[in-house]
Amino acid sequence: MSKKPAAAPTLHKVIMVGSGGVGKSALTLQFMYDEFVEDYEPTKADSYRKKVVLDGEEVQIDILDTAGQEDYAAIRDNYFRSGEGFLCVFSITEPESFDATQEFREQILRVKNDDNIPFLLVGNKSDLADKRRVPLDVCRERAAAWHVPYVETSAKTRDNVDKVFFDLMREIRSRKSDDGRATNGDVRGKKRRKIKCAIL
Amino acid sequence: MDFESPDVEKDFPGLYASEAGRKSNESDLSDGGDHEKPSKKDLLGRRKDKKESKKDRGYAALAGESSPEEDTDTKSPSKSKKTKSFKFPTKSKEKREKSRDKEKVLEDVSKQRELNEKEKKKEKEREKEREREKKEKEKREKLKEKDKEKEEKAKFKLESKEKLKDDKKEKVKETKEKVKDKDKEKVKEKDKEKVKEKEKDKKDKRLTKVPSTVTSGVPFEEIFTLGVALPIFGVPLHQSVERSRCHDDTGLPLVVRDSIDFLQANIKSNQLYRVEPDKIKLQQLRKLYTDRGPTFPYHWDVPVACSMLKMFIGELPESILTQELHGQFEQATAISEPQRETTMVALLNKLPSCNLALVGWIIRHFECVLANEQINHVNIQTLCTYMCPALGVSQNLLAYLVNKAEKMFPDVYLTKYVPPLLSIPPDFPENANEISTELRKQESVLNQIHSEMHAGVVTADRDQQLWEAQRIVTQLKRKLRLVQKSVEPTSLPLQQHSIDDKHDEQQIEQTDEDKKQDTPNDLTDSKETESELKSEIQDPTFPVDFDSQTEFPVEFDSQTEFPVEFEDNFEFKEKENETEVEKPKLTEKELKVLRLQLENAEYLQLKSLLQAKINSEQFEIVKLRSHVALKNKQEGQKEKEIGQEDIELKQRLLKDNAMLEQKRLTLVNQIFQERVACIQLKIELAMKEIMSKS
Repeated sequence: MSKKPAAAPTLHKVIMVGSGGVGKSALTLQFMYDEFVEDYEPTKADSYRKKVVLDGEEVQIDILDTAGQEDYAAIRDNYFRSGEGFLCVFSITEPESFDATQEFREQILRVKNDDNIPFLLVGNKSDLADKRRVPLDVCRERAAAWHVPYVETSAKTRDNVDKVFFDLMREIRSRKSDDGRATNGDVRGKKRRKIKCAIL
Repeated sequence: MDFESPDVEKDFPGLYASEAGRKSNESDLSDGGDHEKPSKKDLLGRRKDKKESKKDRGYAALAGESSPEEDTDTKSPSKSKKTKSFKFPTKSKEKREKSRDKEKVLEDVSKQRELNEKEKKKEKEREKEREREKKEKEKREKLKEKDKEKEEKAKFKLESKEKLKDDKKEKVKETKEKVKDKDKEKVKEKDKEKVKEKEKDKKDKRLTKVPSTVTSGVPFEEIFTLGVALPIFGVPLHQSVERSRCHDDTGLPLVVRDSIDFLQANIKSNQLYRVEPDKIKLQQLRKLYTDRGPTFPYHWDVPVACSMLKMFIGELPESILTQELHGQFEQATAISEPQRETTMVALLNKLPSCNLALVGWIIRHFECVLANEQINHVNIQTLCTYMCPALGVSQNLLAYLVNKAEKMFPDVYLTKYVPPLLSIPPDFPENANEISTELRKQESVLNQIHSEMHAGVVTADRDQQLWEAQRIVTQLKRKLRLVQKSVEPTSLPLQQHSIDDKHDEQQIEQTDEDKKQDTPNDLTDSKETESELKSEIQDPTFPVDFDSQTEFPVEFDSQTEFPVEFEDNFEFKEKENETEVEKPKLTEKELKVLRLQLENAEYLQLKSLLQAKINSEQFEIVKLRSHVALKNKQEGQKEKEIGQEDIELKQRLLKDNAMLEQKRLTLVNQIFQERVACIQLKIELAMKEIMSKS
């Protein structure tokens, strides 16, 4: 995509997608600033940048927090094109949000025109286990069907928050190096992805 | 952006030939045309050839050596026919014969060779392309129609980008060659050519996918596309403002603002509105603005800035005083004084805001220029000579407006433009006002990028800008929130919403919030009033019921579609405590929201109440009907005995009933009005209560 000056650390562009109110912003803010925001405020679009150390290498992560509401769909589409990896978030307490992931997945694949785009299915609000309404098996099933990893997070307790972002960055990184070597990305990408899921 | 469905040429790959056909056509035209007077088309054709000769020189030479057949082919007409007819069955053959007849063989031969080479190359490319496309098509067929369009759009962009890139190179070359005799008209002509070429491309619908390596990482070309797709010169003013605006609410096109800023800074220069500019410099600057590139001080000087202003205004398709009002303005100059001023002001107020801003800034600027007449020696005469033709206004009018500038445009102050920051420095002032001003600018930038992207200008460069602008906006929002938190440490989340909303300029969020927090503060009140209302409504309606039983279901049927929402009440009660706790200082906007929320709750109450009543009345009706039916059966025999008296009585009763019905209706109306008034009063009360608490 865009060329970065050699001096700057590698930049990975991550996009948060998912229905409204599933905790995209909460996850992002928890990752960025270690804070948990209780009050709900629909996002239009927000973008953050953070320097992190990914496996000993300093990289930059750009996180784009998109709107779950359809009102801002037009704005959201503009960003999808430039995203390198996607965190598709739903709430395990809300089956509708889980259903919506299918739509988001399709939309992303359409825009990116790439079945192996770095992608994680994220079930958020794992702290609300008692209110759980989307069975774990179903989530795993879908992730398997898509050949993507499934992770459950809690923005509230910070459970797995770093993991999802770092996992995704690793996928993006390996994807980029694959592209760089101009090798057949399909097979390798899948293999690597599976290895990566096991890492954390 | 009109382009035909991509399927067409997949189904008819032969369509591609039209592209090459056109090219040969053009070159033929240029061959046959008069070389002393190069026409537009001629220029175009030549450019193409030039480009070709540059690009494929190596290739051509190689091909010439390796394939002797082709050499002979170009030399001997008979053989060339064969190869040609192989590629272009009818059209090009004829054309070429024609051109040969014109005895320009030598030139023709070289051109044909180039053409042949080009054609061969293109054909190969096309064949590959076709294959690729077939595969792609299968893939794409799965996708929805909408996305297909998007994709094609992007493809077209890429393709036209390449075209334009080539064109541009040529253009630059030409500019250098013909710098001296180049004038404004020619520039316009070129712009037209560009547009034409673009349209042709569209029609050709060549789907040559340019390898990304060719275009990516070359922002120069990418921005050029933007300038072509969304020009800012020679388009209606409001479009120009939309596409390249100052991000500080002045509603001026950036180019105008910058020109005026520069001239204001050099208000004492003796070159003002007098000296002809350096044409190259002017063109450079124009191009920079068209391409939305940044300008630097060395791009500017006084004559160029004057010319820029003149050029921009002169190229507007409409008078800056608008078509319909221009005449009235001119007429107003003839009115005698006291009325003239008021008429002018009234007319100015009728102008669209962007026109008013532009006129205001220009006139106020002229006023400044003339105020310095002693030093810069610009008088109204000089100014008129220079600007009137472009402005299209009479000297009288211009002179009048400039003289009365302060009265005409009291709200216009020529402030220097501070462009939005490219990044937020760590020492950015922690001041809510400054943050929100900058935030407004940044959001304006962001909106512009979004609208450009929606217009189809999508490049890696734009993407990057988009992310950056978005990041700045997020950063500022966060900062603003922090500042506000520190100012009002007691402030609660609820308030933050409304502050954010203000900057979001999005009513959608407002409504979202409304939906989200259906939290009436005075539910207890409404509960109490429920019973009140009940008695209120029951008393007048029920007595009449007996007279007009059948009417009731019809009347209230329209309301039955409202679902009964008794549940709401419970929710409200729960949430009530929250709102009691969250008692922040209230902004005006928030008060409005609160008021609406209260109203919302009240009406919901009313709705459920009425619904309940309807239900009970319907039940009543059923009951009464059965009564009537029963009685009818019992008194069935008596009916025959009805005499004259009875009929009279019946008629009287009917009359009375009609009157009663009238009364009933007015009463019902009154009740509703009273009820609305009640609700309003209740809300007032609740608001006051909230205010006093906070």
